[in-house]
Amino acid sequence: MTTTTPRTALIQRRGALIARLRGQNNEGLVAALLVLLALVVGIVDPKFWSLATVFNVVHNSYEPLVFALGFLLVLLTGGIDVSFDAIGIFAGYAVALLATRGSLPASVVIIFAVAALIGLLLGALNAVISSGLHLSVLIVSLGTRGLFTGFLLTFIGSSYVNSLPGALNTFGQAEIFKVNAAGGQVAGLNVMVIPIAALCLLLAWVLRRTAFGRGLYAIGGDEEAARRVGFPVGLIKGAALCLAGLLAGLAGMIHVTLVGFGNPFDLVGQETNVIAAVVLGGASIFGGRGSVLGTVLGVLLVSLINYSLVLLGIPSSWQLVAVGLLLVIGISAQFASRRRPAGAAMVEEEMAA
Amino acid sequence: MKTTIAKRVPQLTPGRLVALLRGERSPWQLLALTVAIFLIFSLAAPATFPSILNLQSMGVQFPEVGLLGLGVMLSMVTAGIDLSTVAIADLAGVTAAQFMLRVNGPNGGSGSFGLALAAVLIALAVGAACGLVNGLLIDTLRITPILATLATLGIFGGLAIAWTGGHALVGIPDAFLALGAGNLLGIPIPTLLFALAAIATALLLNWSRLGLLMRLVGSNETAARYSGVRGLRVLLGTYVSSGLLAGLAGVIIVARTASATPDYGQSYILLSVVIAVLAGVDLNGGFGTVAGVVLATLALTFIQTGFVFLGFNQFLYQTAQGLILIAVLGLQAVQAAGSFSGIRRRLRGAFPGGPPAGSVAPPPAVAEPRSGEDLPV
Repeated sequence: MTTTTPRTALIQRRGALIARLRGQNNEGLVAALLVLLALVVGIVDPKFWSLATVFNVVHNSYEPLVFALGFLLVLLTGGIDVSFDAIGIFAGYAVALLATRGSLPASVVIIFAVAALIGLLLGALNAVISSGLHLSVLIVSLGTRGLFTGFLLTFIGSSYVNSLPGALNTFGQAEIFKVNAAGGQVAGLNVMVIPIAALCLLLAWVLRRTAFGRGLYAIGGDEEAARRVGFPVGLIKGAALCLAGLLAGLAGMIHVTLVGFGNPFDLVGQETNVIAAVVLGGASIFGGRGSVLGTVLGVLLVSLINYSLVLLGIPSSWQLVAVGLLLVIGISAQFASRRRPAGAAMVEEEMAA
Repeated sequence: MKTTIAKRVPQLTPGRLVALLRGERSPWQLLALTVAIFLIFSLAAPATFPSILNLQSMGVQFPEVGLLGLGVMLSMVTAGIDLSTVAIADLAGVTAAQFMLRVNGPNGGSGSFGLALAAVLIALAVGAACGLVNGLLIDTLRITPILATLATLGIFGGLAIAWTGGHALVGIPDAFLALGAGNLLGIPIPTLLFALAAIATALLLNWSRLGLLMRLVGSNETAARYSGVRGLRVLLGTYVSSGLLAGLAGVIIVARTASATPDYGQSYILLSVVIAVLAGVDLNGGFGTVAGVVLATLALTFIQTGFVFLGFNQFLYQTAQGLILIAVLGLQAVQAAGSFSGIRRRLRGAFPGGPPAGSVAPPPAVAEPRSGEDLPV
């Protein structure tokens, strides 16, 4: 141990401050990136500076954010669940169909509860298969993704549901604030922002303060160690998949509500957006690292990029390319910063193998 | 606990290597299954299913997915996975179509043999280039294959969509369409192209230096590294090969459907993985056979066509794919309980060419952001 001189103390304090600003999972970097992007787009096109922009970006974030939170829960344990969009559209479309046929009471709360329940059940199927057979979540969810989509289109329906129940339509258009954006369009802040913000706070609390939340991180960090410490590993991983299913069901319902109709071919194939957002938000693709705040920022970043592309007159078809590139950059950054302590990681790998 | 210890011994013993070279796990079971599926559907629809016409029709349909399956198999042999093959095929097909439309005009016509050949070469070059991008990401930047190819799936597919504005390109000259519609002695040309590609892949995997190294890296990366295998060229070669196969699939898709659709075959991502898994490719890496992929592709094509003849809903096939994937994996898991730790290892990131194990780095400082994996809590 070297003696601490005032100079090194200063450097240490400055280092600590920078580390604090960066956040545990680079949340600070993502936030800085958000601001930087906003500045650049704002300079190129001054129309950008408006409340309408904020409302639009937030509006476009509701559905991917709820998907992303579910994806994050599973990712924290080291699993990659690619079935969330299939679960989402399954739940959203099936419930929309039931509600239009009058099989469900026309109450927004009940409709969303049923969608959540369907999502939970489908997530439970993922959990049972992957835990029961000790299979990788990725491969299982790739299979169930096809299973859910196929089942939806074969047995539930493959045509549009055009007329949603009045309660859902009202909910989808219930804005807290409204502003008139350029071009006569109206941008608003939907009521949804309140329950979704509450959901974020709740999940952040669960991840930080509950044994379940700590268990997710522990399993992602080192499954065997978590098991030996006494975490019920199988149970926690299964619960994460169930919860991810529940959130995906809710997100699917949000999608249907906001779009205003049920299209069973929607969503599937759009998962890169969500995965990119979570990874950009600082969650480690190996599990064990990630936060709700980072995920929120990541989703907002992807949403802002997509919105800016439209604003700058770039065809929306380039969005896929942009998000793919973002994903590459996000992952490369993770891998670049991982390289230094690769020795430790490798030893861990050897032990795991 | 003797078995557990035995499993920790490096898997690539000389005995196992010899067994691998002999192709010990021969796909007889799969052959029986494929024949059984064929017989079942032949009995269910005796007039139509086993007819020459239907066989020819299936011979036009199966090569594209078979080629994608071969590419996925190669990546799985190195303990990786390539999810971007469909997007590569689409981008290659769109590029070839754009080239032909520029040279030949938008209205189709006959076109020359040379034009068609150039278009094929362009598609293959695009496939190889896309594979090179994957290889560089996975090898040079050391990104986990699944994530790298998930990202490039978006990039390549997005490029194809952006280039065409999302529309299908039509007006492909006849000389090129002959690759999809023509036949030689009654055998559809796509089948012949697939056979050539399958033979080339088998040669690559079983008789070339690259193939041996691929299996080495997939079987036991650490051992391969200690014996002097350089990760770079092996994984680069793997993903370029996969890209080439996907480029050829793109050629067949455009020639068969007479159009270049930028987002064609979205369901092929699942299908190509199902094919590789059904083919008995070891998800832990190190093992895979071309024969297995061919048989698995045929079996799945029989099921797809059979479903159509039996009047099932077209989407039921997708449900069946998901079920088959889970069922096959479930059976394997039951057969060899505990052998799946390798999947976890692969998903947690395989690092070719990294520093050797044993040099224990000091625990990262608490505030240091994202320094590798979390230490055990």
